[in-house]
Amino acid sequence: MDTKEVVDHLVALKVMRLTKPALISPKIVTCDFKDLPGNILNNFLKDDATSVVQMETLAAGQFLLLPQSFGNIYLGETFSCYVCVHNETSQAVQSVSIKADLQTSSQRIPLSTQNQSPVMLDVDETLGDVIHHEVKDLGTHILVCEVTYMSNYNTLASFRKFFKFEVMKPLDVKTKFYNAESDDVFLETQIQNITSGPITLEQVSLESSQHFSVQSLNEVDKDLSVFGYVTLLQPQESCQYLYRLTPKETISSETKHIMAPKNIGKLDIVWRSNLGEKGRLQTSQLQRITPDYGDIRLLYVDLPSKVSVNEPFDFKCKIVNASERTLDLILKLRSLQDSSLLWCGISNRKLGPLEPGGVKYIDLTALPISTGLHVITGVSLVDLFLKRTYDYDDLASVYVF
Amino acid sequence: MPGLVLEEELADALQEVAVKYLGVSSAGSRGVVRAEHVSRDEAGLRELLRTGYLRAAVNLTATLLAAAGQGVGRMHRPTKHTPRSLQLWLTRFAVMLRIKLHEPLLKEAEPFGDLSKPDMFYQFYPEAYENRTGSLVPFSLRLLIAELPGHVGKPEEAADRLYVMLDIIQRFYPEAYENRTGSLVPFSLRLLIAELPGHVGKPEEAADRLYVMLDIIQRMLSNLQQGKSEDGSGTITEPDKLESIRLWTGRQTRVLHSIDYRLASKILVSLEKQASSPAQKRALSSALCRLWLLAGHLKAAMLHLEDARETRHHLCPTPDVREYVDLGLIDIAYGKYQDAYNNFARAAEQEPTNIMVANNLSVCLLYMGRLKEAIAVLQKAINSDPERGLNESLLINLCTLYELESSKTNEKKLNLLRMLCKHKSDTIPNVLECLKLA
Repeated sequence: MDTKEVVDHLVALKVMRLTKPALISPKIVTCDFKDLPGNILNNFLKDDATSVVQMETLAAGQFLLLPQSFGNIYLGETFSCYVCVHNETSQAVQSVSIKADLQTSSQRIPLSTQNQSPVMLDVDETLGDVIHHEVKDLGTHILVCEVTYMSNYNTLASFRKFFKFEVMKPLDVKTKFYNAESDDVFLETQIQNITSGPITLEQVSLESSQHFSVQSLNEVDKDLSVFGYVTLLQPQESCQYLYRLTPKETISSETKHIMAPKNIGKLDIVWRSNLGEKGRLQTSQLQRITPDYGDIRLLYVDLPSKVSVNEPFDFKCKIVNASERTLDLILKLRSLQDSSLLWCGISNRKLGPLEPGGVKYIDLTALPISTGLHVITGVSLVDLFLKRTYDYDDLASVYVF
Repeated sequence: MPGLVLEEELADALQEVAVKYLGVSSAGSRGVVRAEHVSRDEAGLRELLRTGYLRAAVNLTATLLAAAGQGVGRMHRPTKHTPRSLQLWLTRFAVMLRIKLHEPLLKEAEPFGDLSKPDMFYQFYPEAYENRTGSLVPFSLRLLIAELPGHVGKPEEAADRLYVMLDIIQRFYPEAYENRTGSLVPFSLRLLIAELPGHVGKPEEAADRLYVMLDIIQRMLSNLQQGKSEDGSGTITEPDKLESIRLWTGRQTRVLHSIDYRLASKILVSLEKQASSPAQKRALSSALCRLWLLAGHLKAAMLHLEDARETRHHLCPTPDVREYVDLGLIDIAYGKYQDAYNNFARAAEQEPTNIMVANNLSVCLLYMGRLKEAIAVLQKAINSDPERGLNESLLINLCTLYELESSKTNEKKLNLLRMLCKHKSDTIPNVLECLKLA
């Protein structure tokens, strides 16, 4: 991390960031045995301590190489480093201690080290510690290391070293919401790897808010992901997850709440990169734009998906008062000229007063007169107070055979 | 029409560093003498290679190629290729690649183009080879030249070049691939072309092609095992058969040389299924385990380790070094350094002189906060087996530890340099960087 020499002090401070080591293989250059070099180059490969016996040409070694640069650090990863103080003199140094802090743009975090109390360092001895910190902020961080020791004049001397690094964003998360008629909410989320290397998404889950129960739609079998065996993302690649959120019973019955819950939940993402280097991010509370139902919501309930031609079928229509006042409504049923469904029963029915948040179920019967896929049309509600008519012509279809 | 580009004689790299840091007296005069005492021919070249005087070997190839009319300044001039001259080029390029002389290597390889110019074929020299047909180019040379852009980070360029070659092969030599007496070109080409889409972000396509290739190799091998020629047409003698089987089995393994995780994993899985012996199957499962470790897919790594362990039961009843090391690597991935240490220690009990195991123990110790012990383990490994211990990567690790320990590292590094002079010839491409000497 830093190679600057410290000359004036009795002890020297060195810091090395500990990212995961790398697994390396030798440079693979081979020849056929009948070529000029014969097996010489192949034997070099065989004798190399970094090659794997009987698998020399395969670049999947077992030899660990220490990190050779500071590397990138991403939000959600753990920053680990080795802090080492070395006695550079030819006599013992008393009362040596290290203190490390991490300065972010907003706060200063003390990083705990095991050896808090000062120790004596004999000739060529070191005082070292590995410190860890989960990075929770973006942007510039400064690791501040302070070393204190007893100088030759029996006074405490100290010096500080600063190590600056930038914390970057690892993932780009985009979300999209679909509010379904059934009050379910579908969340589509796209996760893009914006780090510089490949990553494996170990876990992607949605922790729903209290208003919803969540179902992940990303597995084909119980365990197998739709992405197959491999959830590996090369740099810039992304993959998409889908979740279905169902409002909890207690909530969907109260109309007012149907409109209220904006909070969907939080995405929890765990990924790993080189040799298992782990990162974890949780998004902030995801918020949807709630659908605007107006004053009245009308839904079809128990509607069969297919019905026989020329046989009347029954279903229900659910009317919810989503306004702030009591509604006085009339239900109109019109069999439009080119419609293939004829309404049976009474049109211009008065539904009686409906309290705010109140729900009413109306039984309906229709007669299909031709085959095919037909949209249910001709249902309207008239608000007697405002003298306004609401048409519901495109809410559902039924297949007639 | 190739010619030498690298004009100056290459000095013994270790020697140069030793003279600079230790002085002429302690550096001795190693490689120079060696180079002067070998015969100026292929035997001498092999001697230099065998004893590890790689730069001297490159120099000797230059002398021999110059004698064959392809020396400095001969580039783009008409010359004759012979199997011998091409073997010299192959040797030169292979060594240059090994010691990472990428720049001059690229320049010298350039006139070879796609290795399909007319003068690369026996038919071009009727007076010398009469009715012999096919390419003069050794398989290894094609493989090397085609892989070059990959070594310098230009897979796209390799792609363009190889597609052109594929087209030529398909137009002129549709039968060559199955033709035993003909060129060996198509195998290496097919391999490279098969790998190409993987390099340009189409691993699925590459995997499909590699499957086709592996299938063909498998068929050839099975023909050979039944005593037929590769294409199943004629019969061949027993020694030829054994040699061909060895050749194609080796090439089959070479196909594994692929970088993309998904692609590599697919190929490895397919080979694992076809593996002929438990030892091979086990080695592949173990490689798959590490492949996924590198990609951070720990679950997959564990599954493959489980497979490897199961196959291992057919070989020996208790875990061996490879298994303990793989277990340790998984522990490292999970950040459990103490457990990893224990596993590596068990491996070390079985093979106390295993350099890789000692190295991994040392790395573990560092992450556990035990720097001094980490250094001691590596030093002991080097002292107990300097030949293998003075390895590029191990030296990098040790010097990294030295630099963390203290700001006074020079004497320790120079000690390593002295050991290198004593035990190694000229095989390490970058002595200065390994020892982190300023």
